[in-house]
Amino acid sequence: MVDRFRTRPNCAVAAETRGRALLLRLLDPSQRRDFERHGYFSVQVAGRGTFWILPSTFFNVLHAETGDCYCAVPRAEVPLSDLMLGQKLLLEHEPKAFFRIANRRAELTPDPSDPESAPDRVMQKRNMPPPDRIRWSEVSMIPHANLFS
Amino acid sequence: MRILCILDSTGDRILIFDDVGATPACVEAKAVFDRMLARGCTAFKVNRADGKPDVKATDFSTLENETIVVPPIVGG
Repeated sequence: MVDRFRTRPNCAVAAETRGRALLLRLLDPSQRRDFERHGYFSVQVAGRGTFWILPSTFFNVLHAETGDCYCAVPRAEVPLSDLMLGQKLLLEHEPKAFFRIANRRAELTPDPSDPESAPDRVMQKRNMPPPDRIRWSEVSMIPHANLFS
Repeated sequence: MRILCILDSTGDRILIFDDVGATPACVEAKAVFDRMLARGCTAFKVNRADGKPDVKATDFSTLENETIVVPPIVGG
């Protein structure tokens, strides 16, 4: 199914256009403003605080307070805007179901003085090319388990 | 008129039915709704009257103006 979808780019563009229209219609005014301006928006999760939903298909739910990113996406292939809409609905109304399934990883150190910059920092970090050189301190000295087998 | 909107690879699939009753459109919408929930999808009532907040839907007979069906999610 994935290959069939990817070999038909016009279908993907049409699907994304359709998904984006639906997402824009269902965002509240402040979310819509953020999404149109930055491509991401925030949701308030009861008992957990503010989360940003970023325009990415992996680890795109960013917890503003901790800098952790969560990843839980629809099993079926859907346009990015539908993915973001599904996450918004789940986070706002079924957060337990979302966090029970989502994987989490620490993405950045939160900056309490400028919490609004967190989404941009994550997106900039991901767009950075990999470093050309690796420091010795970054190389694990623990031999791989199967190295001598 | 009620709308059942199922998120899928085309963006969404829309089913429109007049009311909860025995019309063919309503019967089809109920069958799709029940099948989707049985597969692990989650449905949310949105755009509700009087500005009421969105809410999860589990029973077809309680659907209102518009319902969004989100496919089951997996940890990425």
